Amino acid sequence: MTAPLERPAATPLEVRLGMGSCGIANGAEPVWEALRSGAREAGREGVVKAVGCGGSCHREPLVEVVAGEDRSLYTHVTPEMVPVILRRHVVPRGWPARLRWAARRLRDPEEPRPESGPRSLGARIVLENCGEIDPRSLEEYRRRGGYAALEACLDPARRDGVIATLTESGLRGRGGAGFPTGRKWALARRQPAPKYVVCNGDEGDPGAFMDRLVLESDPHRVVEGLAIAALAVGAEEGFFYIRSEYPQAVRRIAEALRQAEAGGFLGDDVRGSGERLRLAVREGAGAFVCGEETALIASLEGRRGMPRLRPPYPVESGFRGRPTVVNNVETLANVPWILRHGAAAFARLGSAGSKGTKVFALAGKVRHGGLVEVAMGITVARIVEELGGGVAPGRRFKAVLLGGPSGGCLPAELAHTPVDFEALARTGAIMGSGGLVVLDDRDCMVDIARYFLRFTCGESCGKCTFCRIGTRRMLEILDRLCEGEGRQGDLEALAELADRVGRTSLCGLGQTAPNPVLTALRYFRDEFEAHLHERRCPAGKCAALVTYTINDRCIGCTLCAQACPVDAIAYRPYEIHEIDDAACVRCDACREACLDDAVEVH
Amino acid sequence: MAEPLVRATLDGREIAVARGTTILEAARGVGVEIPTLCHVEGLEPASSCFLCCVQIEGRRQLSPACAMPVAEGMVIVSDSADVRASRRTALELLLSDHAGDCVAPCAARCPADLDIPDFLHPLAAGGLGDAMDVLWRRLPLAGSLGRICPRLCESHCRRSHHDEGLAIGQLHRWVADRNARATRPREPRPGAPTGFSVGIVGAGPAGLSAALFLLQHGHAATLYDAHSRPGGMLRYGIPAYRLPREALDAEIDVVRRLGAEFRLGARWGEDFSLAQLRARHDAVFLAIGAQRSRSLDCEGAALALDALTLLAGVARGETPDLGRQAIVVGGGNTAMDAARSAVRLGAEVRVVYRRTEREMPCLLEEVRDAREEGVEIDFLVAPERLARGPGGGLELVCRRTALGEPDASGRRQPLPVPGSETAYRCDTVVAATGQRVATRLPESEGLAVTARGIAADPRTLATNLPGVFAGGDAVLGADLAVRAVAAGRLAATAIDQYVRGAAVVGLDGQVDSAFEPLDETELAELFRGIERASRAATPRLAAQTRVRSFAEVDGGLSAEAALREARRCLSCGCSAAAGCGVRRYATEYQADPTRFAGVRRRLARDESHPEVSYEPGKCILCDACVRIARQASEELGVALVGRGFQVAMGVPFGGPLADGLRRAAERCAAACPTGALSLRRERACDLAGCGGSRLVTLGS
Repeated sequence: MTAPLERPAATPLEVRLGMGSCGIANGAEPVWEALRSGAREAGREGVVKAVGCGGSCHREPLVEVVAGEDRSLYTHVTPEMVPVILRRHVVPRGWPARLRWAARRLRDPEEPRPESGPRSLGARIVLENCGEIDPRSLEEYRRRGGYAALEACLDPARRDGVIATLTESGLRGRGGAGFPTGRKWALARRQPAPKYVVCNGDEGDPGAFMDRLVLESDPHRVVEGLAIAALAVGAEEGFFYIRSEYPQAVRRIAEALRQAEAGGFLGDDVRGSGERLRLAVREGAGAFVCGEETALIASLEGRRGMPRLRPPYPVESGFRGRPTVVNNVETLANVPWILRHGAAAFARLGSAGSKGTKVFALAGKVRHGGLVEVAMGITVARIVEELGGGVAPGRRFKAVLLGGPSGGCLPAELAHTPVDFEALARTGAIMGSGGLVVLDDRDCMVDIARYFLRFTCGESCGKCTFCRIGTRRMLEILDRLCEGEGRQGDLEALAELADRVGRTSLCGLGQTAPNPVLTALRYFRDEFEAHLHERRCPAGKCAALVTYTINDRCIGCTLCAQACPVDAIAYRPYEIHEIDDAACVRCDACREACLDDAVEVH
Repeated sequence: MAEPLVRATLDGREIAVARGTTILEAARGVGVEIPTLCHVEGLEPASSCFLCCVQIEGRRQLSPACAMPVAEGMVIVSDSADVRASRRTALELLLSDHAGDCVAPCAARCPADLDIPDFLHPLAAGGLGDAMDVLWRRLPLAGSLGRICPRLCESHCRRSHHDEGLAIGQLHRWVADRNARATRPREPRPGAPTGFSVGIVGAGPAGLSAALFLLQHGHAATLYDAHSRPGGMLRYGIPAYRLPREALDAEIDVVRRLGAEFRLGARWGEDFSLAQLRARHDAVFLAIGAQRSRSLDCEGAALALDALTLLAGVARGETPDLGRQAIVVGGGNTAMDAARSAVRLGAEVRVVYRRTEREMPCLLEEVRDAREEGVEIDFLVAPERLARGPGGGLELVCRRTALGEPDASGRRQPLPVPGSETAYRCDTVVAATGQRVATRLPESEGLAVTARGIAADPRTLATNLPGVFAGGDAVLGADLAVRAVAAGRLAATAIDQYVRGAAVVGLDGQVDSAFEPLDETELAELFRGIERASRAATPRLAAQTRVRSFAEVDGGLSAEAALREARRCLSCGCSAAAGCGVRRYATEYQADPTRFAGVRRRLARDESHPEVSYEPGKCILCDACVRIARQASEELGVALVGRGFQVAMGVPFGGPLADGLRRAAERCAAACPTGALSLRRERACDLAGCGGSRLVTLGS
């Protein structure tokens, strides 16, 4: 069953344009038109292809020209750049060889330069097709071995091995909690029918977009994963629960389901095996808490998305009171690969307890952000340095925040911690669903904790006393600290509330909401103390606590005066500039504008 | 075939329950009480309030007992310090977001804990006797206190934001007076005799109040007092024009009729010792007051007459000759009493006070009345020396003062201005510069003392000697009569506990929720539909008449005015306070309602439903009404709407409550753990606008 499938050779020439929602948001549509018409003029319409996103969302629109092993990546592409790119790579049909050769050497004065940079470390499993294939093509997915694993599962003799293979692979849930997927499926398999499977696509952490990207760029992979889950546990019905803020993901999955059904991979008689399998899309209405499985199920049932106590766990009693398996998008995206390549290939990657890869949304003060996939066991420091390119020159790498509002910070001293469920948990941070924000010395930990807490506080479903009111009171304390109005006892009250909110809430939202605060207090307590006792923000971030001044490194260039949005710096060329503190709004524009490090914040 | 039972451990004891039994049910089955606000018998658990949280061994999380099924081998702890602290924090969080007053702001300020709306509501409905019963439960001497109390309640009356605060003191004076004159007055009844006896030293307000409550507990009470008549400072410190003797005597007579024994003219230290009383009685209550006048802090102080001596003399019927001109030194109520008494004794009176009018500790109306009666008041002057003048009169040399920084009392300290002496010629100087507790005698009998008086535990009034309690001015130093009355009730409770051999814990420290200061929109909501009406005035003797005698100045309310005034009461406070779960548990867990104060729900009232009132500010999102409406198959029902801190209970799609709750409203109100959903009730002020059928006349 685990016979590896041959990866087909790449087509001779492909001009790929990222048309995920990130690409479209950055202006990919006019680029697409330009590419199409340019290719048409050259008589080679077939070479352009709309793909999803490979992870470099911030560099979209992104054109990649692939000719065999030869790849050229163009970033921030505008329609005006298209003719140049096409001229370089797409030689019109019928040109003699000499002219073709000459065309490649043509150079424009402002020519786009191909760029490249690693987007993964160690292995690329989940994202292997993202940005490579046309997500709307079942054929292309199949050409890359798609649905082979599902077909193999249809053989009853092999199906029993599916759960064993998954268990052996060591795959754990990628939604954050890290529950072993094989064990979850095994529990569900023992339950009486009818049963359900659900793909949790309600990705809601601010800054996290791993699931959106996979759903948009490689939808069949997730459909196949969920279909395998259904077959493995004995369910005939399943749902994709996708937040409605992901319209393209919803469209892609719905389209993929139609294609899969037409292709016989879903329906009343899956590939002639007699198996029944119906999958459907359900859209979430935008509540963060619906990413929690019991709230998600309540929402699927048409009720207000509010979590309930587990036990009973959904594998015993979930959708309509029936056994239900809920798996995260990334988890399911791993499944076809594991079945195609074998448990051992997956288990070879990673550490003792954490196998395979993890996708992270890398953001913050790194030079190259975006989506990256790394093999488990690789250190956080390597992600920051090798994939992110480190922090800006002159800045000091301070910490990373893992897991978004449910996660915690990992100080630079602990950046050698490997990407491993247990190792990260020991630090107080969590693996989480994959948010990874890099902070430098100009980030205030109190402010960062406040940012994430404001999110969870606003997204609480309001059910549990501690989550609803406790997070609000914690936020008020952080607000006071950032405003320089902290009171005696605030830090103690903050720590107490953080502890109790975490231990006395029903669901993951409340249980993890205090994590950013708890870890910030654990590793950066001195910053909290400075805010409280000295009314000082050591990072120079909290507007109420800082003053901007200009030192004598100023050369009188007026850049800061030009950048100031409130005219707090008088325009006096060749004189040392001065900031009118009463007018200054602490927007930091002057400091960013200054080329001589003359703007100081105290 | 019966399923095998699940075995587990709860608080160290083995339990065995059917599969699926929740921890809460299991605990109740073995008599372990676990608190809960959101659990409703017969409905699926909401597990939202987290008051029922318990510790399950091996888990970091606390678990909600109402929803967590007992599992085989589970080790459950329902009452650890951590669990209790979590419950207290949960209550503190709920209270921090609770827009409601458990008790009306007036009642919250009453030192004697009189539930003022509870007293006024029957009055507004014409039930004089019921109103009097409420007074007896908390406020003995209600007639006397109605005349002399500074009435902290009135200044906090919500109506003062709308028109004028209610005349609460006048109302309880009126009820008590009317009751005393009734053919069959309402009076407390003595309890079944217990055989215990209590000696009370001092027959002032604290001692009388203690006796009244002790007798109702069934204990014998003997009051020892050095004066020839009971009443303490009410009789010997307060002039009859403020508190007529008939009114005071009538109230003391109730105590006497209830069975109190008075040993008058018996002075501690001369006629008996504490040791003797302790041998004679099962417990002793020391309510000796603050009897010692402070002398003038100046040269020649001995030439001054102290105000207490003057007032006591007048109270005994003496008419001391103060000469033509008298100067009273001081700015408190005693100074005003001395000054106005001196006017009535025929003197021209001047008051000298070392601070300004703002700092005067007496009631403003006392200053006004004194001035009407011809009393001159000089501010910012302090006595420097007092001497006998050449003509036999006195010369009081004063120095001008200026106010400096606030002192320990929070008032700005008067500082002498150098070279600013003025001399007053007069016949008498009365020193009214404060009283203090004579502590030498108590100390000599082994009692611990403080700077203010006898040392007593504020929760129980217990002193360092077993069975000896102390309260009122004797502990606090010169203070309000109403606080003395309150101390009497507390002492009676503590002594009752003591003689019965129970734990002496005093009164239960009720924890109450209270609004922070209300903002404009909340006040507007509060006064919606309330007509403005001015405070009832009382007839008063004209100044030229009243200086000729010690007749009572204030004539009190008429029956009509009293009814009208009672019907101005907005019945603030929560109608569900008595049965409120949050309040009960907050008291049990001693939660501090202000600990997490922050942004809170707003005051709002939805009176659109015919059966129930909805006050969203009091909702704790327990989900009970949502579940009940669902179970009752309401078409629309109610739901939790919104997200985060703003979540509220409401009707889907914003419809009126009457649409959401067509059938289940009463059940929802009954199940509501707070006063968020309550049966509609009538406020005292609702009686004001009603038709003839409700028209009642007070008294006879």
